[in-house]
Amino acid sequence: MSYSCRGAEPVRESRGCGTCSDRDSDSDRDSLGTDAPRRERGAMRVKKGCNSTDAGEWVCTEEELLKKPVISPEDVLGLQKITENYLCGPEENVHSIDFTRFKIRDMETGTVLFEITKPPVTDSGVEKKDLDPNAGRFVRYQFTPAFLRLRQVGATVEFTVGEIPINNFRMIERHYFRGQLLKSFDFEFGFCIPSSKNTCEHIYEFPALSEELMHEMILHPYETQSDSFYFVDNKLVMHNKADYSYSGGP
Amino acid sequence: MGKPGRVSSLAGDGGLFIPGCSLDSEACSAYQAGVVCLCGAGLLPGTMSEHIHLSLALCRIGFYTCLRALCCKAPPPPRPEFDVVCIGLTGTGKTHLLARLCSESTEGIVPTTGFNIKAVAFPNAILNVKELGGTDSIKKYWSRYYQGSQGVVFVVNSACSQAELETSRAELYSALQHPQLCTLPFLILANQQDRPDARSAHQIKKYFELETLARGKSWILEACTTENMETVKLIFGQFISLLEEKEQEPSRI
Repeated sequence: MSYSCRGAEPVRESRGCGTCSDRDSDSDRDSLGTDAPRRERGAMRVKKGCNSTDAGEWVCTEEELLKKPVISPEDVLGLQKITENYLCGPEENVHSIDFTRFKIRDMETGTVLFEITKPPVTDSGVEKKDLDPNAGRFVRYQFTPAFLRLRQVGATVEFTVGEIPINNFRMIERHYFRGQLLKSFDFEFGFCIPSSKNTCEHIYEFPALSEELMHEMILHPYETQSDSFYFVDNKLVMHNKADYSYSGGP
Repeated sequence: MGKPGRVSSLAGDGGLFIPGCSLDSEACSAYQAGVVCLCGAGLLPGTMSEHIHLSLALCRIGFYTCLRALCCKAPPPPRPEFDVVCIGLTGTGKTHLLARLCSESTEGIVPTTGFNIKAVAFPNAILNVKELGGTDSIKKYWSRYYQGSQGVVFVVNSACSQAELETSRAELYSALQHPQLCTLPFLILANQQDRPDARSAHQIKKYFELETLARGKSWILEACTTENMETVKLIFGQFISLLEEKEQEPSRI
């Protein structure tokens, strides 16, 4: 299964454009979230992003979490680096959550920088068990250096839900460069209607990156990585990964 | 104090922060060092006040941010945010309106079968909108999304059938009386005014009997069409004022 993918460069940079390539043929989306501060009220809120300099933040390792029967949101908030393994298998997605579209746009100009959609599933007669079980859990992004100069992007994710209603759907996404946590996002969607298709756009404020760090990130493609964890009723049901190049080339 | 036309401010420690720099004062290393930040703004040492220390730490900023400095564009102060739910029957134009407010393409819009969450930026506020599909199968779940809302946008198709208008009225009343919405400001949009058979805002207001049934509540009813987005933005500006007023009310426990 292949994606249609369209990229556009930020208005102020003349080189190259944001493109993506799927390492696997059937990739799911990976999203950037927002840490825009919101009041603590009700469902569908963004919790402020944390960083590793917060005092009192607890830490844990992937090995510790893999021993647990159920992984909770609080558990993954203790991870300090990208995981080596997926923390859950694809079979744990019992609610049939499927990510169907992902789009990034520059909030200052409105330019769509990147868009990827998943074509509707057709009955191809291929047995699901014959496909690579981890297909669709990883996406590789290729951006130009100008991407790191953006201040605010809107990241839209579209997803469908199966027939079982979801009481509380939550996403935690953590971005790292080498061993350093750059940003953590925590977004609660709350209730999801059965058999629905939903979209959500987060405004993503770029973390303040020093010139040196940006330089390093550009020089070392794919060493910027992210883990996206999805929870239904505080239980981990999906785990996707992505890596990023900002050097403008493959 | 810098070139004419450029706003600059003296920091208490003697550093001069030029708001044209795309970095805010905390991120600008020159400012932190208490020195003049040129930020590629082309200011010459000769124009600096003799009181200002002239060791220069040049911020390495790309061409784009130099352009911003020359245009005297300071980073804006953060805008207040309000959480708003957007409801109305299917086909009334909710998704279309929000896409246009966000300067997004309306190509390929289909009836919403769940929620669309969007942050819509206005000059003086950001509305975090939860737009919900209005088909029969989706609208029975509307109330699952009311908690945490600070305002309601209710959209009506001004050119709909009489039966549909009646259904719209019933849904509006339901929302006006719902415990989680009944104290909130409502923006009711008589949308699709571009249609030749569109009823006027006055007619719809009369049919909805809002003067009596929404008495004591905070609401606005206005006609609009996506053919005229300037008017739509003005209407939302009025709604934001209602949201701000509501926010300033002392909260009762």
